[in-house]
Amino acid sequence: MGLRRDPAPSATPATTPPARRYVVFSLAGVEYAIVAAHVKHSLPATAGLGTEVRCQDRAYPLLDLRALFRLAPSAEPTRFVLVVEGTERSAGLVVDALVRLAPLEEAAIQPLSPVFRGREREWFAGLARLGSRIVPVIRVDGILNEAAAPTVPALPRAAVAGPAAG
Amino acid sequence: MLRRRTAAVVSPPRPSLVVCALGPRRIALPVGRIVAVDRIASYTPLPADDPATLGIALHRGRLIPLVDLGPRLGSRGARPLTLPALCVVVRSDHGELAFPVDEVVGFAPAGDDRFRETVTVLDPAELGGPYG
Repeated sequence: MGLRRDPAPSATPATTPPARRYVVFSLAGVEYAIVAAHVKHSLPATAGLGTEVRCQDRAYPLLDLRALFRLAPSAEPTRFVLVVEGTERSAGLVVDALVRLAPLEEAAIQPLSPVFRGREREWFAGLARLGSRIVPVIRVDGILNEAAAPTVPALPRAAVAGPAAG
Repeated sequence: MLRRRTAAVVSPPRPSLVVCALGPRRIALPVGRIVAVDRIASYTPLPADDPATLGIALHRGRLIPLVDLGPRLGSRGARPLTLPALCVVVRSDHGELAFPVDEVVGFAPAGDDRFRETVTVLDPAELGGPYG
């Protein structure tokens, strides 16, 4: 699946750190962003995924982000695996779809409110606005730490009425 | 010389609580902690350990957590949220947050104990606090 590229941000003052590129993927209708430099490959994933994926002669444990985030299982026959390498761990993150590549400046990422005080602080580096959407930004090492631990079973989240309309 | 007598004016107590309906409950919050009462058209769900934290809403250009008070008040699970949702935005000790309500019922003076049997008075300072 080809990724659509968002245009690079317009000229910025010299003091502003350059924008990093992020891979934007979707999960249950919500878009998430992950630093593109950590994403080594993306592969289509069909039903019946095992516990690992092989890519360039290397095995990566699979981590289904729907299961980790307690979202209902996907009904889509084809999903995608993002092979992600962090500081110490690597894994194949199973997501619903790849959306686009987008530049994001660090300053544009807002930290999570202190109201969020659970494991989500390990999973998300903050929140960014991409157009009209609010996009949680993945904390790579925090998510990859979950690849070593068993994921919790998927639970329906009755309160989630649906993704933001944007 | 006539002395002007000052009439004893008894002013009614100032309403200092806003009373809202939340399902079968009535909750009240100090007016001074309320930032706004607005309809929120959309929000972005954010996976979180606390089932009461629904996600993030954009309010007046700011990203604020959207919290379901039901579980905080002892309900078993979060209620399905119908959008647009009437929300009260409050200032807590953990920053601003919004929570959906069914209706704003009215105002009440803080010192009036008559309604305390039917209304739960919340301290917004603690709304974003620990859960358990």
